[in-house]
Amino acid sequence: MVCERRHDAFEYNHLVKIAAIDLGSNSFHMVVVETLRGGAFRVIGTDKEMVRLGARTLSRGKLPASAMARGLDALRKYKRLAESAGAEKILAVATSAIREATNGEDFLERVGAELEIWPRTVAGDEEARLIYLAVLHSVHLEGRRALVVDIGGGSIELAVGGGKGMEYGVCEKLGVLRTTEEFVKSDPLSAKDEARLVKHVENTLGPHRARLRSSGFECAVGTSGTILAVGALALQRAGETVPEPLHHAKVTAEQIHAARKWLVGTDLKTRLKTPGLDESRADIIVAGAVVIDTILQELGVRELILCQWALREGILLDYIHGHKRSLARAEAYPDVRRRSVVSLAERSQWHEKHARKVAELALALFDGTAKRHRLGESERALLEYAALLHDVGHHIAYLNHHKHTYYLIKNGELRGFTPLEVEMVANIARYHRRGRPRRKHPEFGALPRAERGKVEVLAGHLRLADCLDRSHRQIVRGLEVVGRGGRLRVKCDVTADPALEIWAAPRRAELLERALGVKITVEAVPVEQDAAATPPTDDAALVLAPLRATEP
Amino acid sequence: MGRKNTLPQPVTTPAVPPPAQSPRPVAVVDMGASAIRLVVAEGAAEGPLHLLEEVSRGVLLGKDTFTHGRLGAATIEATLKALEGFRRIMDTYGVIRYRAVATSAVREASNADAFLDRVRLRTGLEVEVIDGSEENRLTYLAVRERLAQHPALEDGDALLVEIGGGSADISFLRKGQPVHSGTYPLGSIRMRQSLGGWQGSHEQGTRLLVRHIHNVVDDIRREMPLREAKHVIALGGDVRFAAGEILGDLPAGELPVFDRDAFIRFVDSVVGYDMEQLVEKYRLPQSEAETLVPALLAYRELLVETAADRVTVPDASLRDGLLLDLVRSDQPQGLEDLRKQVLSSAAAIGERYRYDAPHARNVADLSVRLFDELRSEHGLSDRHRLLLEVAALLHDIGNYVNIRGHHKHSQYLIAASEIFGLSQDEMHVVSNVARYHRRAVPSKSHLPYMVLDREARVATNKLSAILRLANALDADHLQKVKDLHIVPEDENWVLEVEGAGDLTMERLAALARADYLTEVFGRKLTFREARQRPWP
Repeated sequence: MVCERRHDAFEYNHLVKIAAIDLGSNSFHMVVVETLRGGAFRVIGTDKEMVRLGARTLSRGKLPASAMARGLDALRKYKRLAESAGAEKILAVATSAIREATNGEDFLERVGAELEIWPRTVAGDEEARLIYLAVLHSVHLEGRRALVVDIGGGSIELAVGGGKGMEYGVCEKLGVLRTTEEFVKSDPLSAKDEARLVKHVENTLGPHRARLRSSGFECAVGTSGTILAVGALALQRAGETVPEPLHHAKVTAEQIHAARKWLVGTDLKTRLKTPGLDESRADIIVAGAVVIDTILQELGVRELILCQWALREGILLDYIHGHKRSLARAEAYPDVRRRSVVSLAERSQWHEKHARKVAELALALFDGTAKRHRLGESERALLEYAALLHDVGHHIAYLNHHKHTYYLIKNGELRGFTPLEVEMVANIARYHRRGRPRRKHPEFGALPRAERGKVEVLAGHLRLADCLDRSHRQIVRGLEVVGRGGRLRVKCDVTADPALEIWAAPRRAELLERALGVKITVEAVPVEQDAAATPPTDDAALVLAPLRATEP
Repeated sequence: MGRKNTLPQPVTTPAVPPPAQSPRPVAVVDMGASAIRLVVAEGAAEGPLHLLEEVSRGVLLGKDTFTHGRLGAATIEATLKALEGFRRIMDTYGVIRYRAVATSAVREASNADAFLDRVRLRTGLEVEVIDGSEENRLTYLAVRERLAQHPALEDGDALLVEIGGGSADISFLRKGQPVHSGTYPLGSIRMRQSLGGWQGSHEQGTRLLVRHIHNVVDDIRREMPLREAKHVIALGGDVRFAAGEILGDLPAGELPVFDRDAFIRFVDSVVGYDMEQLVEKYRLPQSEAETLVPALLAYRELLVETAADRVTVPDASLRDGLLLDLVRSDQPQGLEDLRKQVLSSAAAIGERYRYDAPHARNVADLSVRLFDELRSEHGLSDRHRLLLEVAALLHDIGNYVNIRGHHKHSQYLIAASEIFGLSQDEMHVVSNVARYHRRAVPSKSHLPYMVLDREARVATNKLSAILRLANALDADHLQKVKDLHIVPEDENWVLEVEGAGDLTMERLAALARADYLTEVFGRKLTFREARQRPWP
């Protein structure tokens, strides 16, 4: 198929481009990335081929010639893509189908001889470790301990760990191709077949159950195509909108259970016609749903966070960190969110000083009005990210840049946020300019009621903060909110004439006034030491009657 | 390209019958922010235009729109009266072809549609509302005509600035070709309105204006390399007034050019006066005095950002561009010029989103080749060919946002972009064509596709069918396909491809992506690698 990929002329220094290929039992995946400072990377291309290497291999223990040929074709293509994308290094990892086939080594030999790619076969627990690593770098775990579940074609991986990495990993032969071949003898799946499969999963997990349950995970993350497909279907069946991308969406165990029930009751024809269900998975998704549902029940998981990163990203992170160990360690506990926010901002050539100042002032306002809004740390964080990103839409066009900002935040691959959080950050930033959030605006109207209220309050803070650096010269050094009752005074320490800031303030404060039910006045207090600066204005009363301000 | 309207012949015999040999006079009407104007001229495709009549009526459309968001009853009535007069003049000259346009003052009025409908009923004139990029293109046409062979267009970079009432139109020209252009919130009426309730001192009001202008200029600087501009070409009534004051009366035909420092001194002096003093000193009508200071400040702040030490103020306007366009646009040279401008503007957008230029160019070339090969089958115009070329250049820019779903992001980015010389409607076609370069094909469930009119949808289908195939032919991003031909064989088409190296991937991709071509044109496609073709 036509591969999505590009070369580009990014001006990052000393970019290294690396390709990682995961030779799975069901599909081959390739991702090409360029490494960034500090051990991060940016995806510049991905491709997937449903090679189905594992078809019949898993039961017979041998790769048939046709499967090998398909595999070689796919890798030949990948090699070419990787090279034309300028990848300096191709990392390849082979998993269960190849690992277990008696002629797996022969296949790898041929790959090496013909294509000069030397895939590494990884053992099951190593696979689990790499997947865990990928999750650690793409899901906002907030310091919680996590259980990671991955369902491949041949095997499943379970990993438990904390912020430093995996502590305990399990690999069992419960992959979808294998279980489909062995247990799915009827369509729709008969009660007997289903019961046999459930029994098999329970028995296989038996020895690990106690250890996994007592390892103390506080959240569960699901990776792999199968889990994403089941998760999306579960959300769809539950009547929820399926977020795009799926990354970081949350699915409850009940929703997955309901999806499993539905899948078990349908035949292939129905599944093929179901919108949102990938045709190439329609046959194997049933076994996949039963396996995942059983695992969740066995381990007492109530909710699953979906994660689009998996083995291949893990391979890359492992490689990069292995080579920049000191760097990686210096980064201590990487904050996924901040990193991806700054990366989007840099990509959009932000006014860094302005954005950082607005974020600082927005947070100061937020803290100063805490008694009024009663919002907490998580909302404060969203406000900060929205402030850092509020002007990125300028990169697309000057006119309507607030709407472009919304679009970029929504679609720009922020990591570590749930889809709802991304939506909130995007909405807060969207309303930094003008207009009141209204339910008839589709993006705002789609938010749940409570979140709409929060967005209004947070956007109010952002709008006033943006105005306080309207000249883009960081004149307001800091601010203090004083006052009682329905009147708040925002006292700004200024280092120069803040005429532009103060001028626009009354109108820019309206949204916040409304959201908090207060009256706000903005005053400037000159900072004495700055003798060189112009004294702040001839007007004694800088609190002006509302003016129509020019909208940039 | 703009519409060309024709008027029904007047019932009464024209007072001045046009000479038999010379072409019929044409007319343009321009409805600006502070006046509406009519020009009647005659001229052939080659050679100079002869102005027959020029009329201007002060109507403050902009003041209404920029203050209240809509046109008021009195203003509408005054406009209708003036246009009725224009119509009579046009009939007197026997004008049949004309173009009447309105800019931001009408574009942004909430009652624009009702207003234009009344214009049509009362005067029979079809007024077209044009957007910023079309305005830029027309003005540029006029400037290029006026400054032919002038150093500002021949060598080096130049900034073309017009501060209008509603907004500022700015283009960056490289060797006379526009590479960036945009519309910015520096309109003089609008800036003045925003200061409307200002109660502070005059000096401080001025300082506020400067701050605001600074902010906008900051952002403009991020979009175009202002520092590299060695020439500044300024248009608009306010700067023409300044030129008159600085240079005094010039001999007819001499191009007004003034020094940067002289201009800065002049602006400094003007800024010192308040409104009443301006009216008195320069005998300006109130409405012009109001916009003078904001406009001059905007010119000044832009000027000091460039490397220019002189400012050229050619007597060129939107109306001149309209006239030239009306008379010349059908000429092949006009189209080729336009193509160059459009493509260089598209390439600048590609650069902004860091596109893979060799791939984009290759896909554009292959698309155009396919378009030409299929000319008898698709029945589309050269204008469509240009839209296809732009869509091909920009089809992958969505990668900048996110590689997942990048075709949709390409659509979004293109729809939000301005390309010099293409209208918003045309940009929507381009954005749709680019959107369908990948898996999905046009469908009735896609909203941005369905908002196109039927004709545009049909064109989108054909163009995207071509683009998909062309893109597949560079699946490798290695530009291995050098040329192609479509050879009809039996009822089907053979795609003969000339290329270098192993074309397996291109063949597979092309066959996979030809599905939609088959659907649209009803022909099956097979792939054949041509050996090096003999020279004809």
